[in-house]
Amino acid sequence: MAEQAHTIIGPDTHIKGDMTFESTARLLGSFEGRIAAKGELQIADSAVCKAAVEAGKVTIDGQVEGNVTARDRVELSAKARMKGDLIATKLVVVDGASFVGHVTVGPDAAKAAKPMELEIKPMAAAQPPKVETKPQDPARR
Amino acid sequence: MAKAAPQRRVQCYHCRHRFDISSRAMSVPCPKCAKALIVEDVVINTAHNVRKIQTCGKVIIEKKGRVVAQSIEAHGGVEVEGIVEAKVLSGGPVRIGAKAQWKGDLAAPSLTAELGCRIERGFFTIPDDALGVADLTPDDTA
Repeated sequence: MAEQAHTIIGPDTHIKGDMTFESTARLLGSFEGRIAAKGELQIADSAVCKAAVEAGKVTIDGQVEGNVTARDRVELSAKARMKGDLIATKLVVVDGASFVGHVTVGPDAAKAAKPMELEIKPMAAAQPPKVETKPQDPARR
Repeated sequence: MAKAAPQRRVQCYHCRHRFDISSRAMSVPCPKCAKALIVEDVVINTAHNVRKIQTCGKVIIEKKGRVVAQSIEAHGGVEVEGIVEAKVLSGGPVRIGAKAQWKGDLAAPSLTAELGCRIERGFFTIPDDALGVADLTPDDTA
């Protein structure tokens, strides 16, 4: 069976800012900012994520600092280190995970959460550089 | 010659004094502060509205159990299949079952939350050794 295509943010990548994606993304490097996704966010054990996260499903193996909201579920593995508030419809915590923060889990929890609004503006098309020309001084002629 | 009963080490939840007791003991007085201690597991399978639950063993809330308390202090850990509304301090691992409902803060050395559990309004600190019993081995506190 063909594997579903993932967006992978490599281990030597450091990103600051906002990120959105539709399907699945796997974070191996570090990210700082905000993440909004319809699909699944996987935070690998080598990853450091200092971000407010809103996604369908969030799987945490690495380090997260920030509030996490999942419409479906959050999974904290034994290596997970999380500091921040957690809102999810379903939660799985494996023995060994580290967690400090407020927790709200239940079928209505994610619905009650205020959705994050990320406005992604398309990058401006490349423009030819403007060259300023000064009018010639008529006295010099 | 009669064989000596196996011993286990417990910590008084009033004065934090540590001492050895028979592993079959259910409640003992603390030799230092003389207050009574529950050292057996507390199993709850009905509705309980209490101020405080304290034990040197485990607190087990079964499927039909419901506890509304100000605080629960369990040196051996907590297992929940029913409903808990309390501030929980645990010296052992905490397991929140798939059909459990939890309302309240938690401080514990480790947590297992099973898929399907419901948690509302809780500040969780994992790992945490608020009770200072982490160096008692699990076999000692069980």
